[in-house]
Amino acid sequence: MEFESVIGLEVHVQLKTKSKAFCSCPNEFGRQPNTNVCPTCLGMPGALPVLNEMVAKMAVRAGLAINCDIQNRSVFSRKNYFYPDMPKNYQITQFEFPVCLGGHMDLIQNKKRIGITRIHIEEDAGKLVHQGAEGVSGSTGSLVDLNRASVPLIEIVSEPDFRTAAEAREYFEMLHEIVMYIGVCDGNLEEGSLRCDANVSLRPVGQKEFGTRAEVKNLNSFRSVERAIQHEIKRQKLILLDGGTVVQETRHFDDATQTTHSLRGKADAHDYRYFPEPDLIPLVLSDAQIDEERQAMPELPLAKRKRYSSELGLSDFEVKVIIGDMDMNTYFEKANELLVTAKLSVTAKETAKWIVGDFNSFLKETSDDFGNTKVSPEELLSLLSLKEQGKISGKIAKDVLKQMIETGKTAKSIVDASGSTQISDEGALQSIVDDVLAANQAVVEKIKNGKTAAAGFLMGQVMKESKGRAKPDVVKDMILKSILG
Amino acid sequence: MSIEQKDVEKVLKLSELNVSDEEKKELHGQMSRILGYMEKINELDLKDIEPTSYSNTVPTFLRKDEETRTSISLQNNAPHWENNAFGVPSILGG
Repeated sequence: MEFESVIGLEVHVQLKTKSKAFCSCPNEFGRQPNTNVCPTCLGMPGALPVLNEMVAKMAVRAGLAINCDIQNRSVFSRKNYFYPDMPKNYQITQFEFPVCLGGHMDLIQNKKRIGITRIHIEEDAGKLVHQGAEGVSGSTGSLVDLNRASVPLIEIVSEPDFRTAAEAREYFEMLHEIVMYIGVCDGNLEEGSLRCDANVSLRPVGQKEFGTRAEVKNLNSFRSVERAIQHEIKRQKLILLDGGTVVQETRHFDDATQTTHSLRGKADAHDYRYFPEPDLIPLVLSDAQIDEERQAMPELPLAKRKRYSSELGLSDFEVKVIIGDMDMNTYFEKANELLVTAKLSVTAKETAKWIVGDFNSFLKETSDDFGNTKVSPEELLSLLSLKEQGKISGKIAKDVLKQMIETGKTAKSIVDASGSTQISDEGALQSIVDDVLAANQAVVEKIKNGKTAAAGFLMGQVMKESKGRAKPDVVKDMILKSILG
Repeated sequence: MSIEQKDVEKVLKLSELNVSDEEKKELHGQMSRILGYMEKINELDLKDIEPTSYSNTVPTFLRKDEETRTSISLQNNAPHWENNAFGVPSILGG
């Protein structure tokens, strides 16, 4: 029997706010345990939550970026559960009335529109470190760090529109890019800033009803989203082909073994007893407030891609690299802006080539990146201008850039100090050319006999003697003129 | 709408509460009376009334995104404190 897989994704996006969702504790990763806590996020009796304005703004911005209907009124609910990661014994979330409904995103590679069901605001839970075992099972106890408790999240729920693991992966990648570019998330997958759960089910091809689904949790990388779904499809297929039934359950993806395993022994149906959070009033957003976010929306990655390739003439590879690194992108944007305003003869394409190529690889040899490099976009452009004006050769420009990256000195000061400006003055070059011709009479004879291609060798010698400073086309003319008259 | 003994059991389980049989009976009675009271609402004609989850209509108040660090002594509130973290017993029960 042929099966079709039906996949939906829930993506948790940690919002890049200064403070937590409902209290003013700092929202930061990697602090000593339980230092970013207060009575509110510790769930102490009598402490009252108040929603962070930035959380509402960011949720709206995310919703607009993926074409959702922003709701003028949304309501917070309590999701009740017992687990030590949440000392209140409930999580504040949105249930019946989320902040965004009904959007969509278009996959580029897989050429498919994916429906977005909703986006809701919620708080993250704390972190447990299990003692005496790898995971919770078999552990002798757990240590609870509540720094992450009440850190703001938005959960973006897709329609079950994916049919392959590759589609799900592309969606996760695109979403990752969008939330970073609209400034709501730092996109750091290693730190769990984006986490994905996948609902996977199979049905015989042609059948309308969905099969029983399993929910796979703990997907923290693009690769794990793809692998976990692939594994889950295979697992369910084997069960169905064997005449069995898939159990509706939560499964955990183990990155080490690339397999999923059941999290809860019993099919213990969740009963979270949602009810409206009495401590928080509904979030009411006026059309003007929503519009404010719409106006402030930066250029989305998709539009950026189109602009780079059609207007600036960047290659697909350059576009991919420049969009894939936010710091590099900001750098490139600044440089490009300067190009336009300063009316330089350097092109955006040339600038991109240097940024993606040599600049990027030189930077990787240092501890700097495009966010904190000692070379400002202005300085990169003055270097490229020197090259463009023929004052230095491409090879020298490379060496100078390397020094600029290491020392933070300006292009001009390095070029001046090393005297490495390109020599195009024939007078200054003539003696070198003469010496080279004298030392290579055999080659000179060849050229006299019509093999002008041999001039390349002589050019190389002149370049070497001038330490790369001679201007190649000038040298070539001079050589041919000296020999052939 | 009436409540049955098994509903009481379920609520107790979800709430992680352990009570005696006698208390269960008492709770059953109390819960039935609460639901009975709510039944009165169903007797009203609510055709044109929007469902209400909040009785007050104060405008939305939002907090500025500013951080403050609170210093509170957590050790004193924790039965078990280890490596600057709250220690809890085995979650799945050994």
